[in-house]
Amino acid sequence: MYYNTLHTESTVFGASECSPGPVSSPSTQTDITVALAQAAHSHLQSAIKLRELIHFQSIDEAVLPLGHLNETISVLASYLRMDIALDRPSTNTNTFTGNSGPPQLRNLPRELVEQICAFLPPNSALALRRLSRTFNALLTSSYFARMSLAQHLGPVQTLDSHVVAPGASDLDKQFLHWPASFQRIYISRSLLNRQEIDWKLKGGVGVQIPSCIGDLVNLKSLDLGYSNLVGVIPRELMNLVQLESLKLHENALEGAIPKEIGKLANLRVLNLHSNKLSGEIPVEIAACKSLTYLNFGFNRIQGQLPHEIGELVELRQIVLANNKLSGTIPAELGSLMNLQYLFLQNNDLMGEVPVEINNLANLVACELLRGNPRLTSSFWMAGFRV
Amino acid sequence: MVKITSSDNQEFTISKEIANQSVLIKNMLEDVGESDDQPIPLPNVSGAILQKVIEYATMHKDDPPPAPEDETKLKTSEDIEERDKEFMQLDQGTMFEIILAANYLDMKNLLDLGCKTVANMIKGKSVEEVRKLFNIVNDFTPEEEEQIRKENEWCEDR
Repeated sequence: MYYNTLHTESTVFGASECSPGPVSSPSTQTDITVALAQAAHSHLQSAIKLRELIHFQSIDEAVLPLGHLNETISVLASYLRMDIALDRPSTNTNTFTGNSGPPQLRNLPRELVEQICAFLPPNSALALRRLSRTFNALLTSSYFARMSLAQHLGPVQTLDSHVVAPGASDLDKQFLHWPASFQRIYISRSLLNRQEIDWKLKGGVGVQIPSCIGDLVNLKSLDLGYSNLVGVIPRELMNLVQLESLKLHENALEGAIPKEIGKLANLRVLNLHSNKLSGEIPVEIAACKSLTYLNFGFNRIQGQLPHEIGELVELRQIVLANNKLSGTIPAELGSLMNLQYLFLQNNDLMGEVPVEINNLANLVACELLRGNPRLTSSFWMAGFRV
Repeated sequence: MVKITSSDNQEFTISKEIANQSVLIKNMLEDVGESDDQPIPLPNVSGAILQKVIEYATMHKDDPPPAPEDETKLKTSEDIEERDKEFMQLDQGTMFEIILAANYLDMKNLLDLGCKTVANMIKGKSVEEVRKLFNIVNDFTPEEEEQIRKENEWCEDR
């Protein structure tokens, strides 16, 4: 019974980054003293590894407060299940005797398979997910992600190292394709201090913006334009309250613009043009007081243009062309005295263009009526095709 | 000199510097003391494999002590010494037995060598080739495999 307990611990915690300990197992052939010494040794190692795990966990928790503990628990649970489910000698049994046959890659103890795969670069290792269920579970676990990235990334960046490299490294370019386990650990090890991310990940199949992107709290600029993104804009993205520039243009993003957008009080540039976004423009956008550039052009946004947009007095450019906006143009637009460009063509707007638009002394270009057949204008602004 | 016996009761007499390359044996020697000339039983390793392991340890007995773990140095499967490459020219069964023995005997360099060698065998091969090479049974349902194939398009196109 004692050894069963030991075995469980060792299986669960035996995969940390420290060097592998001797496999301890009682054997009929082993001198009992030796067995006990080994057992004590192994037990101590388990305790050390457990401590390491708790240590790591606390780092992760400081960084990733949401749901991480749950993930850890489910990973541990899956380790236990896997060990039962696998038809292989478990970590602490004698692999050389008994009827297990000659050792092969698939019946090596899990920790050894992890060590082998960790010598492969992350992309080559993750390609092996398709080998079998066992490999898929192993390679997508947080344990393996930590091990693999530790080996291929070098030391953890300290909080005072300000590595601001806007370009994408080789691993950066893989980031959006990785399973969540790799993304989480890469964020905590490598991206946490980034202020700027500018990844143009052309080509490949569509990937989603992971919700853990919301952990990059120091980010001031995020540019994932032209990156083949699909799915929705995660609400968690709006946790990046330092953001001054958010560009997700030229992708295939769907769903509504999260109303949490209002949390981005420092946002100056918001470029979401050429996606498949739908729903209405959230009223909460009025809280983005620093906004100077707003581009939602070429989407499927519907509903009214909220009159709260008149509170965004810093705005210089508004591009909402080629959407499904309906209703009338709010007169409050006329109070945006800094406005230079206003494009609302090709929507379903109606009624009269408010005369307040005439107050916009800084307007450089403006297009309203084209593609809005039910919109009329009773005035003509010199030099503009209204 | 130190005496060790394999699972099939073959006895080997090796020098202390060779024995000490195994952290397991080193710890046991420290525990039992110098005076004891009882052979150390290694019930997890066969004589044939122990022979190979001793060969490796003899080859490396004059190596400088390992440098402390340098965190900034990335570990890759590329840096293998030529003599180690030759040593690992083995059939798969022996290779995996040596990996297991190195793990059991706690010989980090030999374990790393074994793991790097397997990693290099995997490198550049398709999933199908790796399955065949290591007798790995695809136990996914077609739907599950298709899902992973999609998720892996970025890394599987070679």
